[in-house]
Parts: sequence; C-alpha cells; structure tokens
Amino acid sequence: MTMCINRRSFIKQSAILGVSTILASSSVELIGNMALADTPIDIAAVEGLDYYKSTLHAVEMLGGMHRFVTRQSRVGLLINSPWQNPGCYTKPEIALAAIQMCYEAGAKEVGVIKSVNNSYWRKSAISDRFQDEIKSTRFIGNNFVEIPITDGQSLKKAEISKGLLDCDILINLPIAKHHDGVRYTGALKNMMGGQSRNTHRFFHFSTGDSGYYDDLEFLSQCIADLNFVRKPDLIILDGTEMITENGPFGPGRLVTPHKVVAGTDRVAMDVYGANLLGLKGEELLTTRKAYELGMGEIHLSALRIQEAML
Amino acid sequence: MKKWIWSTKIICLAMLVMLSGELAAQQGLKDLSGYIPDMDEIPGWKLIGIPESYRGDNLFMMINGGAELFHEYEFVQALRASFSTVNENTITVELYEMKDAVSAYGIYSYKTSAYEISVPIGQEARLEDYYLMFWKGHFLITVVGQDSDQKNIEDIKTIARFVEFRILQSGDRPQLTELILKDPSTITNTKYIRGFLGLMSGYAFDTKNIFQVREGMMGNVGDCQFFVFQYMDDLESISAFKSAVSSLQKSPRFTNNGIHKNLYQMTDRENKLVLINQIGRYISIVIGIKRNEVEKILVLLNVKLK
Repeated sequence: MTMCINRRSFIKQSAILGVSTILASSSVELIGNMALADTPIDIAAVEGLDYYKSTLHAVEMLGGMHRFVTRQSRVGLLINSPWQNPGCYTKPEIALAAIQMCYEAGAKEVGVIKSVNNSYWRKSAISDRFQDEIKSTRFIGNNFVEIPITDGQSLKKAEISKGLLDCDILINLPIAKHHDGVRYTGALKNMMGGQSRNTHRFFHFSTGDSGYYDDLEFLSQCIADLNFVRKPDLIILDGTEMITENGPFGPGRLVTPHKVVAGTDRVAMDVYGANLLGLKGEELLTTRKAYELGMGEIHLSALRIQEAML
Repeated sequence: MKKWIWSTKIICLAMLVMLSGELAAQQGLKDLSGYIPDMDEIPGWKLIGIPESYRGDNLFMMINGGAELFHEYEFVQALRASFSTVNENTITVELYEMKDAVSAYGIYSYKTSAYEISVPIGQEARLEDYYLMFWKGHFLITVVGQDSDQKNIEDIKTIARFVEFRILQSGDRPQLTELILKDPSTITNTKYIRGFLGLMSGYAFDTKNIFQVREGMMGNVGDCQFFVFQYMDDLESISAFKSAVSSLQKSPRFTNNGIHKNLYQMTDRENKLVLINQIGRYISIVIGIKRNEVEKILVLLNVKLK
C-alpha cells in the first residue's frame, strides 16, 4: 500500500469534505449543476476522496435516486458491513449517502437486510450527522422463508430473508474485494447476505468429499443461481479501498482506486469491480455463470460507462 | 530515565506473563484470553469490552467466508480482542490456535507475502502498512491497526511482542518446507498448502481438486511459478498424476498437451509452458514462459526431492 496520506488523516480529510458537503447543500443542490448526458448510462463511476459526495454524484449520473425509489416505497439495503479490517467493508459514507438519497426521493422506510452494528457506523466520522437516518434504518432480515429456484442449475431452493423478498426496492451495496474461495466478491456474491446459514452451508459443502468445499464450479453456480431470487433495483459498489488478498476478512494489501460505482447490471458491475482489483472480471466463474444465465452483460465494451472525477 | 523505567516494567511484566502462561499450560487451560494484554497493560491502550472466542465451526461467525481456509489448515479456536486509545484509535488482535505448528506455519505462509517487511517477532513475522502477522508454535497472530503512521506501527509491534512473550512453545516448520527451502535457494514467496483453497490461490488448474492435494508447497523462482505436492507414497502420487492428466487432457484451458512417461506438458491461455512431473511420492510442477528456465527449475526441484 503506497499512501501519500495515512489512513487516519485520510478519514479525517474525507470527513471534513463530507461534512462541508452536508452543511453547504442538500444532495440535490450539490449535483444540480452537473451536465448530464441525454441518454441513460449503464455504469457511473466517480473517483474522489469524499466517498459520500462520490456516491451522490454516481447515482445522479444514472438519473438520480428518484429513478429507482418511488414515493412511499419500502427500501431494503444489503450492505456488506460486518467486517473490521480496512478494505473489507462497504464504506459507511456510501451507505449513508444511499439512505439519505432514498429518503429524499420519498421512501417511506429504509431497512437493512443484513444486520448492521453501531460499530460499523462509527467507522465514519460523518455518522454523527446522520443519527436520525441511522436510527430509522431498522433490521428487516431476521425471518427466512424457503423458496424454489426453478431455473437454478445447482441451487434448486434457498432460505431467503423475508426482508429481501418483501421490500419494494432492493439496493445492493457491496464492496469489490478479494475472496479466498471464488477469488472475487462483489454484487453477485453479496446477495448471500440475504440468505440463511443453512443455505450458506449448502453452497460450500454440498459436494465437498473432504468435508470442506473443493468444488468452486458448484459454489460459483450456486452464487449465480441465487441471483434468480431477485434482481437489485440499484447497485452501488464500493471501489474506494479494497483488499487484494486474504479476503473476505483481511487484513491484506490494499488498492485504493477511490471509486464509487453505480449501476443496475450486476454482471457488468462485478466485471468492472474485479477489474479494479487487477483481475479479469469476465473470466471469473461467478460472472461467467451469471452471464450464461442471462443475468447481465459480461462485455463492458457493449455498455455505456461514464467515469467522473471529483 | 523514563525509558529505563518503562523497559524495566516491560521485563517484569513479561516474566510475570511467562509464569502465568506456564501455569495455564500446566493446568491444560484452553482459554486464549490469557495470551492477550489485560486492561491497562499497554500504556495508552485500553481493552474494549470482553474478547470474543470462537471454536471449531463457530469460526464462521467471526470471519464468515474466510473460515473454510482456516479449517483447511486444521483450525482449533480463535480469540479476538480490540484495544483503543482516548482518541478512539483502535488495534485489534486475533489469535488463531491451529492443530499444530505445521498448521500454524501453513496458514501464516498463506496469509503473508514477500511484499511485506520481515520483522523479528515470533518465529517469523511480516509487517504491512497497517498490520502485522506472526506465527509461533501452534498460533497465528494478526495485529491490525487503523493507521499507517509510525506511532501506530510501534504500538502494533508492542502489542505483538506482548502476545509473543506469552506463547511459550515454539514449533517446527513442515518437513516439505525445509526440503524445498534448503540451500542453495533462489526460491521466493513460498506458501505451504494443505488443500484445494490454498492451491487455488496460486494457480487454477481446474475448478476441482484434480491433483487431490492435501499437502504441498508453492512459490516462485525468477519469473516462474512452481508447485510441489506430497503424497503418502509413490502409489498415491502415481494415481494422482494419472487422474490429473486425464482431467487436464480434456480441459479447454490448455493446449499442446503431451505426455512422456511421468512427465506431462501443456500450454496455458497466457502461453505459459506447464511441466508436470511425477517423482517418487511427489508431483512437481513448473510454469513459465521460457522453456529452458522451466526445465531448469524442474530439475532443481527434483534434485531437492530425491
């Protein structure tokens, strides 16, 4: 990790930027002057040190949160939050920006499908400014129901959180990072955050003769199959600071593209995210299998990708 | 003067710690909390809450998708404790007790790399910008800070040394590691692997464990990558070789396949030559662009294995 500034000063710097953003204007005003393209884009990637602001900007480039969140809707957030080490969790600033945008777009309720500890929010210095929003995001993922996955190749049924199934709008907030098993985890794999532990074990152990999984083909197929359950309405991917080894929990060497990436195509988002880690996203088993199932585009050249720098 | 007082305190504390640790070992205690600094033992740092313990399959609750790899290396139990300063800077210590020293070395070698700086803590230690990992005896220890400034790094080392003092027993590296790393050696970035997940981190021969790997080494020599898999005996090695070759011959990932006795060769998608050799109770593999280098390294490995 070659850092011009150390982690603490970076976090402070980001916090100052974030707070100044909040104080200066609402998210809508902040991006009101942006020159947006006429035709919709598939992926918006914003690079900058203020992750909160980058998130607002990225979603606005896609057309704004009101494109995804309707008034009085119940929004479910799937945040990759339960990790401690740097580069392993979706930055709280990104989640906070998403929550704020949902409410501004008229959401009636914003819930989290995988439980989020207070310690997660405390990782961001701007959390103090969002205490009301944090308190209002209740955990909605504690009940599971078994559902059939009729088109699944390896996964024929799964126990899925009712919160994930019942919410009107699903927003997936993964981080693009290394994973010891499937090499990469991002949007497709983050959907496992909405399944029960029983289903999780089935993914890993069902064909393992040794007692532990030794069949990545099967695991990758299960991850792809799981995505039949529900397509997220929006994906906001953390490509700011990520581990490139020892995933998913680290610690490990970091890359820092400082990018927040927004889009709706889960396969393309994972290809983009994996590329940020220096992997060939289109060659990953999970993206290939999801592509073969028609879940999205694996060739980024076929998509309209807009990148911006703040 | 202050430094002298501080050093004396550290030495006295270390002695106390060693005695209490020994007592714990004599009593057969398995509580790992005895290995970490107690409240106020590290000046400026306070233990946050109660350390969390995880045993067996419960490791999943601690590190979720990372647990399988630890189980591949025969994980026993773990403990996580966090410390903070008044400025809310935090350092987290994780102790992983493995089945034996071989397993502890294995997971350590897997999780560290040549990019990190070697530091004299435990039996081997590596320091990255914001964390340190070391192994000693049956244990892998990670000490993770939130910052890369010098003060934080020094505090990480101090806490690591506290834990190191409390682990009384050392252990030996795997025999295969000693065999591969014996002089003369130009080998770098070695990892001791105990199964499929470890292997997959190095090279994807297949999405299944076609070499039936349960023990092996991997690393680099120059621009080439190498693997050595160890089996119970020659028969098992021959069987694994035949089975793997059978799979590789059908694989669309490789071209230019050819076999001569116990030597199999193929070319991968990056146009790298892959030589696979069954030798005694081992299978040795070298991957690289230049044939003469690949062949030379294969010979070097095989000399070590004979």
